[in-house]
Amino acid sequence: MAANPVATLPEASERSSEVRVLARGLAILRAFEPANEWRTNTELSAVAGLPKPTVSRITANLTEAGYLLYSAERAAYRLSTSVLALGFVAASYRNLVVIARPLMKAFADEHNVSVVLASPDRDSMVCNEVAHSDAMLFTLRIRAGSRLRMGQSAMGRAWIGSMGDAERDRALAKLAQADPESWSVLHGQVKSLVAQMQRRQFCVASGTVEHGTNGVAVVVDTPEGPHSFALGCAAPSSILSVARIESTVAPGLLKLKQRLEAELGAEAQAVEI
Amino acid sequence: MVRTRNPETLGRDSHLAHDPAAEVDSLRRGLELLRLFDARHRSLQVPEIASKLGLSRVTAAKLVSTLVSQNFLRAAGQEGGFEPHVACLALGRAVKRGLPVVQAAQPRMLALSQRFEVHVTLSTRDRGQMLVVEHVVPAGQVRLGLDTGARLPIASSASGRAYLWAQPKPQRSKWLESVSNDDGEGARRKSEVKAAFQELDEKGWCFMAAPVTSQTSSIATPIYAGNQVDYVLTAMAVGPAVERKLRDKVAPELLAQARMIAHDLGASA
Repeated sequence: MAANPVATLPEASERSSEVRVLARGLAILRAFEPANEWRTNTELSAVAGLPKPTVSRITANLTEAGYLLYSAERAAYRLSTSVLALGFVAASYRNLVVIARPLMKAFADEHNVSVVLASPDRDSMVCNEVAHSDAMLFTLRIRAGSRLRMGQSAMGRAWIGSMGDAERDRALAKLAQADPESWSVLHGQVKSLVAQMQRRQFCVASGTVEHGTNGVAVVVDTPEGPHSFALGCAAPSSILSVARIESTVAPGLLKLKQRLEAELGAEAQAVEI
Repeated sequence: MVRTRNPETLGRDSHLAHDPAAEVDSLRRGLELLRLFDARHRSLQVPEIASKLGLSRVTAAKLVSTLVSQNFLRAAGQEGGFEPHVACLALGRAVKRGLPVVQAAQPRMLALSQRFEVHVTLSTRDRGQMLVVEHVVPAGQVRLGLDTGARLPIASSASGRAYLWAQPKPQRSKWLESVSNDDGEGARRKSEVKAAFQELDEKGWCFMAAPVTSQTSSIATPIYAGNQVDYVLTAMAVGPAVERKLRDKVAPELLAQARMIAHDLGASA
């Protein structure tokens, strides 16, 4: 359930009554989150923290306008599909790459690494965006559009490791056909990848992308689905040791993941203004 | 029993300013304001909002600031624009989670999309438009602006025509009248809609070329819940020569899936 939106309103005296009516109506709509169950006026009054007569007026108004459905049998309301016309399509059209670009660059500079945002495509991970640290003399030969093999990248491993059993079995079966070499590398390590992702939410890969480089990756959940993207970073092992990954880079990467997920509205309630 | 919207409002102009019978209050205005945003209008400035809704800038700014304080809008870019924010997403997701038709349709839409490499859309009527409730894109293809919350013209989309066809006669006639009256293209569109109705009478689905952009063709069929139709299932293929595939291969499967969705809904009710 969302935090009580009414509690965030400024004092009534500071606002005209017109504005209050809108704020209260929005609070009633949000009282149906997260799963749009049937609610009576009494329940809505408790959830939204508003007097029952006010709630009754608002629910009648919202029903008349087509945003709520009323069930006479239950004497209760729920949201109608018309609510989907209220900015949903524009709000969901947030391009992850656009949001991620400046954050990835800042992260690359702060940690002196290359940062990659990639999404799974059949048997490989496709890089959507790559940011290099300004301070790096050596950068990985990866740019937007590059494909990384599943078994050889921390991102592919994080992606495989974050799946449920059935989904992973399907993905691995496809991989066995399309890229037997990748599959043979991953095959024996699946259990440990799953355990790593469950325990720490990140996956470390040592020397798998290019010889002498270390990498770490997390997955990014979007409103379209879990682990739609992977976010990883890599650098020569001389500057990115496994110890540094575990102490500072991985925790930072997890924070970046949370920030992106919040920006995308995957966890709408987590965003506070 | 679920009370649905008054059939009298069917086909009425969506603009509240033209609807003196409606009680125009700040709640309705605030929600009308959110409706202005879509895939083409992802960000709007206060003066644009004021003129589209026929409000003063002061009133529009007050509504915007309330919507911002409740996370429905947020400031966007450098030019003083505003865009829908996380509360719109949270509310829309709640609607989808609570809809049995989405749960019933989703796996079937996905299977249909993968098997024939077609876009599959579940839509319902919202005022004078068809509103996309769920949309599945075949792997590796772009969304073409179709997504949950997108709206399509009712008389010139396959979805809208299948929806209208399945409505009781009086409402259907009323719609046809409003089609022929609304602009100079009306007469032509009216005959297209009638042809689509005939195809639906004969086959249970209707075909339409290029309803959204050029190079796309769609077929649509209503989903029956008892005698009533609230939702339509549509398959869309992209490319120059897709008509035969849609008519011969996809159509029988689309009909079968729509029936299965209706069956699942009946079983869960």
